[in-house]
Parts: sequence; structure tokens; C-alpha cells
Amino acid sequence: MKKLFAIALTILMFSGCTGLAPKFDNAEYDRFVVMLGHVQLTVPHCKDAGLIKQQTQALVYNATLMDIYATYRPAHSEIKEITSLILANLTEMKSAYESQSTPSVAYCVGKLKIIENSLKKVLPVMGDLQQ
Amino acid sequence: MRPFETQTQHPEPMVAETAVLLQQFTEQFQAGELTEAEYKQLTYDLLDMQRIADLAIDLNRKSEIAKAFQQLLQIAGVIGNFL
Repeated sequence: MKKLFAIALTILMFSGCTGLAPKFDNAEYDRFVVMLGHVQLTVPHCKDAGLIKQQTQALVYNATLMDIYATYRPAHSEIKEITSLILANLTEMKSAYESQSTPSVAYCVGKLKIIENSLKKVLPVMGDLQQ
Repeated sequence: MRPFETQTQHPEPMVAETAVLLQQFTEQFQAGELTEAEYKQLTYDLLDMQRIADLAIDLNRKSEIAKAFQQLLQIAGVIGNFL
């Protein structure tokens, strides 16, 4: 009995307490880094509405990939909810640039700043997850 | 008038950060740099930012608990001599 318990405990330990431990995922982390970089590089161009219209399409594309990855990876509900929120915010921005009136520069900067701040809160946590 | 001035000094960083952004958006709205719809949308986006921060805290907490649990099992393993 004691031996069985020891084996079970060892398996649990080396599996990283499977059910409990959120795991680091290279691909997922990379997607978040790419998204943050893309957002940061886009902000300085907010005065160019034509360019921003194109960039919002690319950002929505990247956010969609992030969201699909989080949906089909049996991982953490937190990451899935985060990717859904980011995708929804970027889709809203894309819609604004596809509407007839051009959004303001302040809107572009504000919208991207909020997404940037959000990603900066998630990345340190994701980067610190166990392998 | 700076309606969010006091909250920008809030000890909780998330509240202070939100207040700084709200102050900025409000000034831009009052200066006509943001439309009413844009101002409203950005304000609601701050709620999403707050939610994402909460989710990151939850994830971090789960991770820390798992690490601590693993350490406890390791100690038990050393004591029980099955490692």
C-alpha cells in the first residue's frame, strides 16, 4: 500500500501535478509576444488611417490565431477568455476603420494602448509558467 | 478640472493606471479629439483590461499553488525515501 502511494505520488510530482499546474507553452507565448510587438509598432502610425485600417486587419488575423490556439488546446480557461477579449476589442477597432467615418487618432492610440497594457499584464505570468 | 486626479495616486496600481487613462480620454473627449461613441468604447475597454488583469492574477495564483504543492510532495518524497 505504502509502495503504491509512493508510486502515485512520484507520478503526480513528475507530471507537474497535471490537473493543477498551468504549463508553459512556447507557441502560445510566442503568439502573445508577436501580438504585443505588432501593437507597439502600430501605435506610432495612428495618424495614417489608411495604414491603420490595414494593420487592424492583420491584428485581427493574429488575434484570431491566438484565440483558435487557446480554444483547441486543453489548457486554462483564463488564457481562452483573455484571447477572446483581445480579439473582440480588435474586431471592434477593425469595424470602426471599415465604417464610413474615419476614427480619430486619439481613439487609435487609446484602443491600442489598452490592448498593449493588457498584454503586458499577461506575458510575465505566461513566461513564468513551468515547462 | 481633473476628475480622476485623486485616483491616479491610488496605491493599487491597476486603479491608478485606469484613472490615468480615464483622465487622458476625458481630456481628449472634452477637447473634441474623441467622439462621444469613441469615448464610451474606450471607457468600456478599460473594463476588459481590468478583467484581463484579474485573469492573469488567477493564472499566476494557480501556477504558484502548483509549484508549492510540488515542493511539498518532494519533501514528502525525501522523508518517505521514495525519491
